[in-house]
Amino acid sequence: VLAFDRERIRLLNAELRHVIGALGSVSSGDPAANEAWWHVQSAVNDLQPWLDRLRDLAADRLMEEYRPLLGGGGDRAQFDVFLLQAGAGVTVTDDPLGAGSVPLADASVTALAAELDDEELLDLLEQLRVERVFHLQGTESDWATATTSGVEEIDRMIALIAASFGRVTVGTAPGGSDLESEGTDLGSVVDRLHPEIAGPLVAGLDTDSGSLAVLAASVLRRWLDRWNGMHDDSAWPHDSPADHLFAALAADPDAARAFLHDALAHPPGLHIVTATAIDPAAATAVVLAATDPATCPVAEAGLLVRPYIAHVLDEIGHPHVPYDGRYVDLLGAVVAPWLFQMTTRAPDWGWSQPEAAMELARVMRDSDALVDLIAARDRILFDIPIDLDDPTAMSRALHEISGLMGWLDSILHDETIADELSQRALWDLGWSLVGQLASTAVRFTGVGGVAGRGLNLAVGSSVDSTRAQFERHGWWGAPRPVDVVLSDAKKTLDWRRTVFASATAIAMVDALRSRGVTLTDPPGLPHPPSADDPATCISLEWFDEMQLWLDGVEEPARTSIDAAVSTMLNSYQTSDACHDLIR
Amino acid sequence: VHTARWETTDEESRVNASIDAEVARLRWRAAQLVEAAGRIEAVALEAVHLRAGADTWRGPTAVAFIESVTRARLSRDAAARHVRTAASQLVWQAERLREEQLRAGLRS
Repeated sequence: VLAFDRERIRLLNAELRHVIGALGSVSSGDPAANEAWWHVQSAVNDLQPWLDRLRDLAADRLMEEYRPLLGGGGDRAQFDVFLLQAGAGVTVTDDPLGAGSVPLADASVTALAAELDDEELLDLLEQLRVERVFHLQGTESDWATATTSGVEEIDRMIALIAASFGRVTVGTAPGGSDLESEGTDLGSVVDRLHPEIAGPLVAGLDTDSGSLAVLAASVLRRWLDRWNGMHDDSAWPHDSPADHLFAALAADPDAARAFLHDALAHPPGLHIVTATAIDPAAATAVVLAATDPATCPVAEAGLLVRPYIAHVLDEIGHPHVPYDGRYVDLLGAVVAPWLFQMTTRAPDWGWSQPEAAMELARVMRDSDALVDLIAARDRILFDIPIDLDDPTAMSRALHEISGLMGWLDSILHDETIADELSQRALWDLGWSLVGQLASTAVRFTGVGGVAGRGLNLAVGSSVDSTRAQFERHGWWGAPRPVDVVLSDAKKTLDWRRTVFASATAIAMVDALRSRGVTLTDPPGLPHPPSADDPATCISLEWFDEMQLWLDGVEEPARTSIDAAVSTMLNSYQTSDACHDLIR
Repeated sequence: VHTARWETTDEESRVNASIDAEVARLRWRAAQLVEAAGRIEAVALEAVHLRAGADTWRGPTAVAFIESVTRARLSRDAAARHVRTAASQLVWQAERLREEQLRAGLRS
């Protein structure tokens, strides 16, 4: 494209005419300077054609394929035209010497934005916002295909404009505008911008984590206020500044943490997290980034996760924002890395185990939250220290894993969440943890060294095989009526813990044999119980058989297997009939 | 002390007058050329160059214009150089002619 300032082109044309006239006036007939006159004529020949071009350009004639502006379409050249016209007050056409729709280089856009003063910048960004809304709404059918690319292009341009500010930091000066950016009162610009456009602008700034958090919180509060003032008849917007800001925050855990602290400290609290995003997953991603155990200290995570859970369960449903149940579903992923702090390690977060478990139970009432929690099971085990050289730590890990399983099963049982989905989810989690428990227990024996990967493969293969056997034989059958499940819940619980204990033993035996350890044979391992076993206490019956079998096993395998299955069994709440029967 | 005063013939007077006229003409041409060179050098292509910057326009055409102006500046400078050289040569010719005139004793 060719961008030009019409008045300056006129002045240039006048200057050029004067210069060409001056060159013509010095021509002379003296033969001694013939070659010089040839040079003069050459200069005139170079310049002369531009007189007509400049005149036509200034008169808005002759330029080929003039593009009507703001006329629709989402292509790059079209937007460049718009940007240049809106931003610098210049006229833009296709450049006759350019190769068709030549896009501006990104650096040119940034350089252009850097030349704008505050008012020009505000005008430009406001026009971009209007254009963006136009694209988002896509009311005209022929815009249907251009909508997405148009918005993306505008967002890309906003990012380029944001880059023109250079490094931005929030100053410490009390009151007033305290955003420091070279040459521009960015604080004033951001405050005066419509939040819809301030969001993507702030998200694109090159700034430190703390500044990003403060700016994001400020923009979202304004957006929420503005939205509150428009509600009732207004449709929920197509787009929110939160979509941009949350993406930036989720990519910067420090900023995400600072943002949540800021949100908690100022009204309207965590509503700026749960009442601003179009996509709850984007908001949840901020919480996940902020509370990622890889970067977030345990105590600080408690300061964020606990209020967030309470907010989502008790406060969500802002008066002017549609209730979105997906926030509750996504709580499973939020609590997954911190399950121990919500069960066995509750004191880490300053609450008691029953208190914590009660809150976890509230989360797990929602089946989808449970599914998310199961899906994040790798994160559940993130915090389990496996120190192969420390038997005490190994033993503690075993107890923690099985203790966690016990709490989860107990919670599901107490909450009488007996639907098929929950049962299935817990079943999946149980098998996952059986693998972990068995691997840990085999390492505990010290047999075959501390080979990690090979051991995990052996255990994983065995666990998968046992699980497949259970499922193939229908021992894990079709969902049963809820009333039957409830009446039989304790027996089901007992059966399930026995299955997992049995699977743990099988996996350990398989893994030890694969390492050349000779175990008693026959008799083989006690067969895992089936769900329709008529025994009153399935676990006790199985455990008695297990003890007989263990009598024929040599150390250290005997003690390790015994410890593992006992741990798994003891972690579970037992039915009345089985109480105290398992040591 | 008296210096011998030569008597000149009519022919010598005519030659002298002719040489004087040629010298004067060469000097006049040289002066004209020096003046022309000054006018060439005064052509304000730099101002055009400055006025054609990014504040005025941007794009391939703007770049091409700057290239044209740059070529024109080079041509202008070359023209001025040639004119001044030509003027110098004319002055030198006039000087040579005057020296020849003196050497021939046609003029004291």
